[in-house]
Amino acid sequence: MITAAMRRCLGAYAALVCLLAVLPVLIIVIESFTASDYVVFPPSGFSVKWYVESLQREEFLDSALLSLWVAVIASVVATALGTLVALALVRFRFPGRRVLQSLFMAPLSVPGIIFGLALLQFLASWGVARDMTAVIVGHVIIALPFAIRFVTVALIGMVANVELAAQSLGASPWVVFRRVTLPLIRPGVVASLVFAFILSFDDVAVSLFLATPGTMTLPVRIYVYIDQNYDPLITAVSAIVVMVAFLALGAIERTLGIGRLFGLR
Amino acid sequence: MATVELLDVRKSFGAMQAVAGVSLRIAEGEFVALLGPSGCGKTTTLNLIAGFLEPTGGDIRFDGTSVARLPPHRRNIGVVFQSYALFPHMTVAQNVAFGLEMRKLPKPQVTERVRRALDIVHLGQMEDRNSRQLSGGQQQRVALARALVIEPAVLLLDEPLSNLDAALREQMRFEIREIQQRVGITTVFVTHDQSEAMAAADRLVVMDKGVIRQVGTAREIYETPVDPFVAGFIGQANLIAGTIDRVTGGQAQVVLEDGTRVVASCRPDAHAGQAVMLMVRPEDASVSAVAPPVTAPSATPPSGGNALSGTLLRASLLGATINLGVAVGERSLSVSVPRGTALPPVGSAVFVTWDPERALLFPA
Repeated sequence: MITAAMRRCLGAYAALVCLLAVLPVLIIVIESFTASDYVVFPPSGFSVKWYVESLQREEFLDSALLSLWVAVIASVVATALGTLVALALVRFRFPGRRVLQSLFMAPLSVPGIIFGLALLQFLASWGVARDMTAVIVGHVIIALPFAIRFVTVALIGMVANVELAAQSLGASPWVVFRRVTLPLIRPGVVASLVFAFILSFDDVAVSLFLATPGTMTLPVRIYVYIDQNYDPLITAVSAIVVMVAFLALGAIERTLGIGRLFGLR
Repeated sequence: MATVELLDVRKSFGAMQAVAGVSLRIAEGEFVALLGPSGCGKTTTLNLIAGFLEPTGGDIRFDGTSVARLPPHRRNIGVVFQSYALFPHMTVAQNVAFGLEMRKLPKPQVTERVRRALDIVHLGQMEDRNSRQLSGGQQQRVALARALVIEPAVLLLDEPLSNLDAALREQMRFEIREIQQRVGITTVFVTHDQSEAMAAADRLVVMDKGVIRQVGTAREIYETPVDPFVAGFIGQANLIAGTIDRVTGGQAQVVLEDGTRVVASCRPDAHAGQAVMLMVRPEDASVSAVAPPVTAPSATPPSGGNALSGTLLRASLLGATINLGVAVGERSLSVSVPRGTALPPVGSAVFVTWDPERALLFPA
């Protein structure tokens, strides 16, 4: 039996955990509005000068633009591949299906930094240059397990037999996919796109190994910058990254709800 | 509309033979019910006709042309699923129009035919509803309209009533029959519910373990089942083991397990010494407190006197009938009598009697 008092306690506890998770980020965002020339909390005065400054720094703008492109391409590619894999794993029964299912989830268990190093070695041994494509490939691989997961959940949640019904009514396999399957798994596909975008846009570990001075994603640029300087500029840039991720999550919440993303509803 | 022929159709899943050689000819406009316990192969047979599965042997023909290697979308079939399988992202009208759009019909014709199809299933005012807002019975009708509107060669119904509540199910089984008659479409109906099959179909096909056990009208199958399985599956049956002692003029004298002698109708090939199963339907038996007059076992021809003595265990009113449980030796017999029949008290000694004409013998 859960009493009203217990429910209030649980609610307070959940709120506390949320606060703990968000608080550090919140502090960065608050600090970014400081008028001082050094990072301080609480901020002294209020100013948006560090935002103005950051928008005038070409290397940050270039990196942001690059990150955006990489994230868009990586999320589209990961989602397309993930959808195909999920379709195969859910709709067909073939030997080795379970093994493949686990194998596709395997990248989740490899720390990003080790995976980045591995990919660097792999590309080098094949003589492939480190460029934007290499970064995209890396991001596709880390996003793929999530893409497969989201689309799989959507496929499993589909009303039974609608694809067979469409077939019986005269729809060829491609038409079945376009007119019935795709519209019905759209929430999973959208979730995959957004989540893959966030993963790619926020990634440091993999990009760190694959980045060159010409292909430095925004998180890598921030990392490199902090290594040498520590001024409020970086808090402003960080705050912008946080907001982009926030907007992306907001987009999911608007379209299907965060809970559904993780199969909670 | 088409004739449908199954010629020694087989389907195996690995080592498991789901359909082990089924041959059946369904006439144009005929309504056939495939009936059997779960796992008997009826749904697999339906999926083979639909083309959702490919047979591992035999042939399937619509109007004499083999369709066994055609994918479902080229077979011109209408399917109604147990789960209805309506497209949740489309309105009622869009669901029904889907098959017509696949056939590239001009828009005005599509609209017209969708309207007519929805009228047939009494859903004329529901065109713009979302399919998720409908009740189970309404969804069922939309699914039926969607399958009928394309005027398929054959209509396939896969347990279409199982998800409905009892009252609606009763109503829909007659409604489906009525619509089928009106449209005159060749129909295959899969169900595990014998009364559903008997109410709706022209002919029943009783299946078990991947083979057909009996094909016939409801009456043929009910009155002259070919074996104990069919007897027990269509309607209820009391089955008692025994041995034929003597055969005289279409009737046999049978010695039951407990030594009682009874008389029953038998097949022409029955012979003395044969081990048999005696079948008596509950409604063909009755219960009385006094033993009926018995003729001597040696009398020729033997007549009457079919009586087993036992104890009345229970009497349950089931609406129009009362079901009685009678303990006879080790076994319990089921007897069904009309409501209002005068009965001996529960617990008293009774005799179960029946008309020899109504008892059947099966080779054991």
